[in-house]
Amino acid sequence: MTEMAECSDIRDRVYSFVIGECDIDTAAAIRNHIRGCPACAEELKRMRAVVRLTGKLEKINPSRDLCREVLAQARPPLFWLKVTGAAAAAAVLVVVFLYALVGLPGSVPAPEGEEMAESVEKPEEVEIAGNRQTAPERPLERKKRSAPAPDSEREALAQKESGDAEREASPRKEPVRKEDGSGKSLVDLPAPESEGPEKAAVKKPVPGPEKEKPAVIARVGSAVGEFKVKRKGGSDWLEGKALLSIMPGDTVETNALGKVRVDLDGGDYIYMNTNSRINFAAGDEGILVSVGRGEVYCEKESTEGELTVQTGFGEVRSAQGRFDVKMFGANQCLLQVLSGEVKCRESEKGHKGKHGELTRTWLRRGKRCDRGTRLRTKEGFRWAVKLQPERGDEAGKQAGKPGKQGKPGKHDPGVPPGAVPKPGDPRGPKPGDGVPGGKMGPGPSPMPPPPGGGGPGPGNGHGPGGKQGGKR
Amino acid sequence: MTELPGDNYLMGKVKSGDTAAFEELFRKYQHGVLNFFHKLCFSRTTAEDLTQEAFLRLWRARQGYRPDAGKFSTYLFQIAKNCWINYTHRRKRRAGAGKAAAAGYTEAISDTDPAGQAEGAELQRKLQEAISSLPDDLRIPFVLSRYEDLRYEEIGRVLSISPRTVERRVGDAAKLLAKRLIGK
Repeated sequence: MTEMAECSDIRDRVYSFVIGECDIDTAAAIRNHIRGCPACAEELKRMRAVVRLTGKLEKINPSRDLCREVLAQARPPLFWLKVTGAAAAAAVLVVVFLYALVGLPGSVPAPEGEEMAESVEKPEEVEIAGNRQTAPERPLERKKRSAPAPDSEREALAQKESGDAEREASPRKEPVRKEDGSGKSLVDLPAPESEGPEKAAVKKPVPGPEKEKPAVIARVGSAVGEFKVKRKGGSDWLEGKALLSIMPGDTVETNALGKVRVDLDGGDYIYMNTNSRINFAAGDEGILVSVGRGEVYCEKESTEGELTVQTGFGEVRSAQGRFDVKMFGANQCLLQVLSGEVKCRESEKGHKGKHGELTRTWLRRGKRCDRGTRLRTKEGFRWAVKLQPERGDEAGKQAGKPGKQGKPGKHDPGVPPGAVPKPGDPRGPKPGDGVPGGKMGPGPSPMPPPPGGGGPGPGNGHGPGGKQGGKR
Repeated sequence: MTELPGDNYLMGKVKSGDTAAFEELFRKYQHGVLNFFHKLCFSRTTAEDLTQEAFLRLWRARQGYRPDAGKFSTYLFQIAKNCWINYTHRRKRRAGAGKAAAAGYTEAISDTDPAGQAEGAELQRKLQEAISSLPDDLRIPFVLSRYEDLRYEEIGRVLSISPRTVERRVGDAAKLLAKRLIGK
């Protein structure tokens, strides 16, 4: 559109120019025209003001009920459960009747062996200092899942690597009998097979040198493809399964086909992309996730604590927000904040000997994308910061314009649209550049994309790169 | 990374009745769809109702989804747009266009989040008023572009119009908003 000289044509497209929806030629034509046309320059200012103002419109978050209601209605009807429930009740009645008919409690053959006994989910009776107590019933699962892994499997996985030799030696849980001097119940009731390790975390501490059960800090919510888990201190990788408990020190790794959603307490989520490896830890202020490689997308929506994502380049912390952290090998890390607020801190030691840097200040969706300053984009636009190792003195000098999700920056001929600048590429963004310049790599992101968008995916043209355009 | 289990993969599972995959999709897109509706009606209650309706329609119409026809998000926003159109028709039938608009405006003001009322309430009100005043054929593409970050091509697929038409409508919407928010 090189001959676009008419003011009316320019004004028709100036909004698209502002939001970065123009192609390079059109953008260049508009720029040239505006230099010599005060009226169109004024229109440009107005459109920028519109973008700025409309960006201040608040976004809302869905209520918890919404999810529940939608999913409840989408689930299969309950009539089948009712039918099967009635059948089960009838079966129980028949058994009771037969039992009464036979009369002798011992005449019914016991289930085979201990394994069967383990599988019975009923309150266990425990004798404590002469009193009989009934162990609490198995608590309901926090979230209903369509294909939950059997609890015994989960427990077995947890036990296998937890180094608890005692439990390994006797996988069946025996009632633990403890008492204090007063006969007061300080007893850690035997966790039924169904009881997750998280229960142990909330129990009253039992005095004595008893080994503390590791607290569950997260759970695998759902998974696509394969993933594996390495327990803290262990050397073997275990096959990952849905509802697997994650404890501090555990490492989760997805392969080229695997994606995992990890559910944190409070309704927060971490989505692991393919070929990712992350390690979990519990800090004073919340969950710590170390990204070894790959990509994680975090939804921290609860108000409790903070979620910290650590990389070799630095750490990203958020009390409430949705953000994506993606590692590009050893040389680049990309942070994309979709909503809320994150805080970044640069790494002191860098990554593999190279100094990586994150913006040092609080980041909020904003306009500026300069190094070391507050980042701010026009509200409603997504932005990204490409983080690269320090390369010379130019670092941070180039300020970038935040980009709208989904389109590589087309305005900037300095960075090829869609290209991830290589470490040696002098045109690439420097550390601290808030420049979402283009695609993030090959292939789309499987991370839950930003609403309506294709996600911070690499290579699908939807990288947090730049509908808004590249650097300015 | 290659496009592996993405939305199409999940929709494939949804087609076979997998509610977990549906939940996954819902969690991914609920914010976008909810805010799309919210920017159209500025009522949380209505937006949530419509979001629910859209996802349930998606669930019911899951067998009709064709992965080769375009991106999943486009398909979802098509459903959302249809839900909105049906909703506006219902409202018009019930109360008449003028009364409905007035009712909607009242609802919007009273249903705004407290945070918005506390700070910049006046600006929020002005913005809501300005966006609400846009006709639907300008407002929907503007909202999809401005708030849902959809490209013109994608919006064109959602609305069954050409990208150039989308550009023109979005531009017109921006001009109207400029007039209302900034003045002449």
